[in-house]
Amino acid sequence: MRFAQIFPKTFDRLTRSRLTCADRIVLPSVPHAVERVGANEKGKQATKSFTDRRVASAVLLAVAFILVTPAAAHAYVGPGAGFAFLSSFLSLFLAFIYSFFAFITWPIRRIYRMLRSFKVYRRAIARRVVIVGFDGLDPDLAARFMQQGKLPNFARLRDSGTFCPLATTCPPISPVAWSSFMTGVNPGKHNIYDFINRDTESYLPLLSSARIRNPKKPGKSGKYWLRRDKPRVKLLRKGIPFWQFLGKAGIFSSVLRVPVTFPPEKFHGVLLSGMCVPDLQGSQGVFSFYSTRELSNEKPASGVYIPVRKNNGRFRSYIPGPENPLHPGEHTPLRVDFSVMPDGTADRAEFEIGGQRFKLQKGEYSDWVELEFKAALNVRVRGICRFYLKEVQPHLEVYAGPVNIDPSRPALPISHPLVYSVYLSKLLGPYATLGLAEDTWALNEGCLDEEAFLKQCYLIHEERKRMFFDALAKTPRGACVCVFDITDRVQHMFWRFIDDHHPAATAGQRGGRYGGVIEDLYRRMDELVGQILSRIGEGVLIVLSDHGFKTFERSVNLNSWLWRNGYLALKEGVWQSGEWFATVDWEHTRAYAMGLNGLYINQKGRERCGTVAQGEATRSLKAELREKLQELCDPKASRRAISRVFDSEATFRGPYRESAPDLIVGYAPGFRAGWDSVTGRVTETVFEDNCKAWSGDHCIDPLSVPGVLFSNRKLECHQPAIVDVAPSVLEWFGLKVPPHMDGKPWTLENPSSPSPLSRGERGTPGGG
Amino acid sequence: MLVFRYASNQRTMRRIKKRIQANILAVRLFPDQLGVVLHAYFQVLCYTFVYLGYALRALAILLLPMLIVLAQLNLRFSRLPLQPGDSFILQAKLMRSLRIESASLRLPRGMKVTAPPVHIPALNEVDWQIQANENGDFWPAVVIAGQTFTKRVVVSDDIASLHAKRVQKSLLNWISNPGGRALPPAGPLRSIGIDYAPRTIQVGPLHTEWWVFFFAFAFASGFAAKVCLRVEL
Repeated sequence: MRFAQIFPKTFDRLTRSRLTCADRIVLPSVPHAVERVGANEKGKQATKSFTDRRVASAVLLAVAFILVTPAAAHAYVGPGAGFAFLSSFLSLFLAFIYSFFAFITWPIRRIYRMLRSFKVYRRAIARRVVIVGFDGLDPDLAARFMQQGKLPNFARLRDSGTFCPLATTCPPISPVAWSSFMTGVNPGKHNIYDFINRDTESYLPLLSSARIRNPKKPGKSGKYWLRRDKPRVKLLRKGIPFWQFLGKAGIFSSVLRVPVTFPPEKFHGVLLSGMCVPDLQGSQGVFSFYSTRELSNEKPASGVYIPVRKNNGRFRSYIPGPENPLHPGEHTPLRVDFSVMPDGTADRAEFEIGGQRFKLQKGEYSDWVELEFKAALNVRVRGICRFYLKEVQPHLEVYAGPVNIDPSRPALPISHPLVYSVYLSKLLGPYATLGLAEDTWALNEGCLDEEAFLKQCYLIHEERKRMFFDALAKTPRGACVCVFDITDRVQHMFWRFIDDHHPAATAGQRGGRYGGVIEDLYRRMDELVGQILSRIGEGVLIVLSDHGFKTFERSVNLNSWLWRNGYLALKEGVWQSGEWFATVDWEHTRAYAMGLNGLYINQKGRERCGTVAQGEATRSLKAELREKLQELCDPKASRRAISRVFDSEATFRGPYRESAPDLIVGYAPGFRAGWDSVTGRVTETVFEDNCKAWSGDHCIDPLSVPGVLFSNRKLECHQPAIVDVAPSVLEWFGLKVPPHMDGKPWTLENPSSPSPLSRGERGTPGGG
Repeated sequence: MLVFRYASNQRTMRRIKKRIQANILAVRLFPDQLGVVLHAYFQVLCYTFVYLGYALRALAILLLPMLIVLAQLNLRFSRLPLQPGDSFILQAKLMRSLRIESASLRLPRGMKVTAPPVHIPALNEVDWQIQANENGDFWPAVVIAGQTFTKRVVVSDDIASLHAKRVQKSLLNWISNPGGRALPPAGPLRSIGIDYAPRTIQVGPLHTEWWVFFFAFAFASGFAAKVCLRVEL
């Protein structure tokens, strides 16, 4: 699920105000950026500068005086001088001794570590656990394709190991489910309920996973600002991932692209952050689209339309980057100019950007292009992006993806240790670092077509595969975890072609090439599983998904329903509201909906303009809303739109239950919160057809969208849930499951016997 | 730098260099996985050889022009020309079959002999001490067995190409004494030379040979220019 696509404009604004500012400050390429101060401060600075110079001159003179009069300095050698000499000598001596000791004890320490790890692994019933996450892999589709013999490797896992649905979290949203996966606790203990949370003061959304704060106030030096600090990125997810427990016991883990791991936490292993890593502009992915056509004046939801000028036969434009760190607050983004030269044929063009030249065929993506946004001679920010040549004649149309953080020179910490992203970049070349790298919104907006979107998805998937196989090779013992996002993105965008009644696709389209895209996706994942099986040996393989998928045909605007039923009030004379409750009358509002499944009571003492008293009044209002919403019927579809509504008090347990929405709305299959509802708009209609390319979804009743669990071992588990993974892994490695974990560990049947698939019945990499 | 850039496979070299760096990082990232560390070291070693292989191809192309450049620099910077008033020794080595007393010296205007010739029978060599009185190129001549052999002597305040020794024509002599005309292979004279003083270059407090300075400067400028010229070294 992609937040930026669901809350495009808002997210843009939100992240620009909360993230971009910080980013431009934070970029390590500009950690000590020199900033010119405003004109109004020049006078003060001149005075200050003069004073500084005088102080510096006095110090220099004093030093010079001491140096040229050595006799006076040598005249007295007392105990103080002795102590001073000894202490400095002692520091040097100790440093030398320490270095020497560290050097000669290195082999001993190595042996100790090896012995320790032997001890750790002696208790373990698995030496290596490999967890492959396919975001959104649906158990029903998997079962159907296996039944049809299209997924031979998954079928082998089913026959020789384990296959069953995996209960997801409530709500069934990726950041929530993956947080429970890694921490083994319910959302009440890890504090993630959606992509966003709301600010109780302003009723505006806040990113729920991380907060990026500006660095400390920079120091002045003459007329320049010298930054002495880096931005502080704070992870808001609570709870401890299982790899931290493993690390404490000396078990190494490689963790790749698991959502809500930005910023990365320290532990014994390597980690590359996934979902929630921003782009260089600080957003969750802003693409640029260039066209010589007359473009719509309407701002695209998650991108920018940029005009193209023709000059000396070349089309010229620019890529917008982060804000200029030397002029903070002036909203002057840095940019990199580029030009495109159609080469005479209808299908090719030459690009020139920052001294790099490359040619693209129509319908082709470029390799990652390194971009350098220069603010000053030594102040620059580096990123990478890909170009896509959509059309050459009669009109030039070019798509440039969001500018990703360059993994070889990361502007923000995207890995642990920091050099891990550099290592991967050196080994495999540049790769997508953006949390939500597949640009679903560009397809929604028509800037990319289905073919181009698929190409983009598979390019990113190939990068991920190479990273994963490297991590697998580098983790012969311990845990290796990787999440592949492609399954989620492709199903979101192509579900309309497998749903016979979806309003966003015609019958002709369903029978066409895209009707088989999801099946092809599952086949490719099956091939991947085959390749993993051929390399895993005796290890335990877990293949799972965080949730399943259902069609998204009808959208429900919950805020409109609340307004129509008198729970939400608009200001006088207004019949609708813009984004984020722009014209909502909070003094007379009792409930409001925000995000994908959340519904909040406007509580006194909690919200700034709360109207409902805490306690019984809130409880009875929640009961009333639950009852009414569970009866809500779609007049067109003639069926209920909401399967059940969960009361957070009864659903969540833990110290962060207070941050949860008061009610979680579990939509019935086919329905989901409308695009307007999630962004706090109020319109006159409650139900609408979903005519977007974004046509499949999972933010509904959790019981309707369970995930899937496969393993190469037989697992003894009753009604397995995603929250069980963390305790299971700990137990397999012989560690005690912490009592705060909500999950119940699964038992490996016959742990001492090797996996049936490792006794010759290996996977078939070809998928056949 | 530019020749190296175009003579080498820069793309592959860049890729290999990144692989080397990646494997060095792997040692740091996976220290507990002994197999991984050993494999990374092995990879570093292998890729280093591959890298050297790619660099050598370009270096082979650069070898000849580099030798010519170095020889020319050596002619100009390894020795100091004579100054007006300086004395120097002109050495003439004769073939073993000839008597050293038969050799005589003929000086051009602006030079004079300041001591009687010294005969060294063991080497079959005659040395003359000569003084140069003014700036210019001079051609003192050694006359032996009716033949005259000249040797260029440079008296100058400027940098000049100085050939210290004129030798008989052979490949070995050509390499060790580049520049200048060779003596006839079967002639009466084996060599004729001038003892120019060695030149040192002062860089701050250091007095150093020209080639030390040259290589230091070449390395520094090479590393600086490789960024601008985008050359992988």
